[in-house]
Amino acid sequence: MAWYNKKETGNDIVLSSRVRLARNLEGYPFGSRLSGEQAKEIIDKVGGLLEASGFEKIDFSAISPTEAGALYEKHYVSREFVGKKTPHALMLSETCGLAVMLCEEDHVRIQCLLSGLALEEAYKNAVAVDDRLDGELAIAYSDKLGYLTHCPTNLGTAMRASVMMFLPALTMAGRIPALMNRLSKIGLTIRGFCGEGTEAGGSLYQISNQITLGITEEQTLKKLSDAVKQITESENELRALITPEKNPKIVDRICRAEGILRHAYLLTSDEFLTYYSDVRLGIALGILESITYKNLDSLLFEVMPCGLALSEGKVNLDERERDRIRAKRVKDTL
Amino acid sequence: MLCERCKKKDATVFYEETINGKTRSYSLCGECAKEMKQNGELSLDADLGGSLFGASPFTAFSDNFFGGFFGLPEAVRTSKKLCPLCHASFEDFSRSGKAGCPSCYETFAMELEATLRSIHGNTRHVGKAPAKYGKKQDGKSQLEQLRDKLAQAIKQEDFENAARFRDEIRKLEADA
Repeated sequence: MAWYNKKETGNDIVLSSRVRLARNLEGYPFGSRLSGEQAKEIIDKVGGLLEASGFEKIDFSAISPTEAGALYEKHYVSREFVGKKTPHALMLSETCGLAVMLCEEDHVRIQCLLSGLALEEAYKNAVAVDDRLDGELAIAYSDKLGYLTHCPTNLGTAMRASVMMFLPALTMAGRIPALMNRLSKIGLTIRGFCGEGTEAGGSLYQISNQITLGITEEQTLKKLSDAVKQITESENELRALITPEKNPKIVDRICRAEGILRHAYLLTSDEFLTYYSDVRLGIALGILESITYKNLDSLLFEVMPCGLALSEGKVNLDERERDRIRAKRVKDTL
Repeated sequence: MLCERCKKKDATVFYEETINGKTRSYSLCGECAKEMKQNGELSLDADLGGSLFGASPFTAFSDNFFGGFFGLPEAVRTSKKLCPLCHASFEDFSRSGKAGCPSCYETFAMELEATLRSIHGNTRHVGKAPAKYGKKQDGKSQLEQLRDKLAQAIKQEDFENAARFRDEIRKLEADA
């Protein structure tokens, strides 16, 4: 099951977990110094090994911008990866949540994405791929600095672990800036989940580690999951204070959001994200009982522009057409 | 992506701030971010680079981390070394904020020491290693390891070694 087809986990605050390991091959330069020929060599070497382990190879020079965009919307590749001009490929094993970018900023970026709070499992899956490569290839590493990466901010473990969280109560209470401060002091960072634009939307946030040198993978994962537990508690405490008697405006907003999602004829993705957040909070507070997290969360990725065009069998959709199909898809699912 | 302020240089600083529930994102070059911070237009509460929110979880590394190339000590700034594999100079490294190849880290080890400490608060790796480099390191500090040994020695009633570990711990704590 792909990571975005969320299971009902009972945890409505943590949506997904992700672990990324950056690896590079000895003897090859990084970034713009890597020639097209060398990039192809790396794709053949690493891609060949992973294909033999059941990964599907997606050559980005052979797919349409819409198909590439849909892979970005599913978080399998970065925005920078989609825009690259030199050879680059994605190795995908969707059932294990594994996506390996070849020749992004680093030669190899192993990523495991799982639904819910599953950092340890995501790390285990990513390490299995790392060990497979380590057995066959010379990985750039130094005893002192650890895994050598294009960017010095990733030296050491070269691991980024992140958790996507839904924090509407903390957002409404204006607590996110204070949380940003607190997290940065312990080497963690929080940023808004980006929808179509770059503004944070839907009260969705990603919390991840910032430091990779001088801290082990296990210590990083523990620090992150401890922080996630504390943030979950704070979010739940604030949610418990919301009642229809004390907060009629919030309840009204939730009911209106449900109305719009169920009945709109045109819906932009920014609008969807805004109402998504209100409806999701409505489910959490027990105000909306006929909508499930599973249905609502599946829409989060289905109604993004490229995914929407592909599911309609089209290369591109004009904006109006897209908003109409999005509104219909949302109405049908809810 | 170009800096949204000067629209000339590449944006290397990505910052997000939320004021009264309204979130605003900035994509700036190092100089504009610095100027905006000095002018009070950005409510950055940390040094640039320290806790900025990268556009990707693999945060963009900018010249800010070096405190600006011209802020470096002269001996570092005028380093004439070239990386034997990719022929990058230290100036190339500090201007782009990125290594040219894995060998650059060995070539410019001395020049990078202070920068790495300021980014990570540390300059030595602990954790997983490729199989050929042997067992992975558990990340415990020398002090933690000694405390473990002391506890073990006491448990085994090996008081001679326990006293030795205790003295070593005291010495380390006094040095710290």
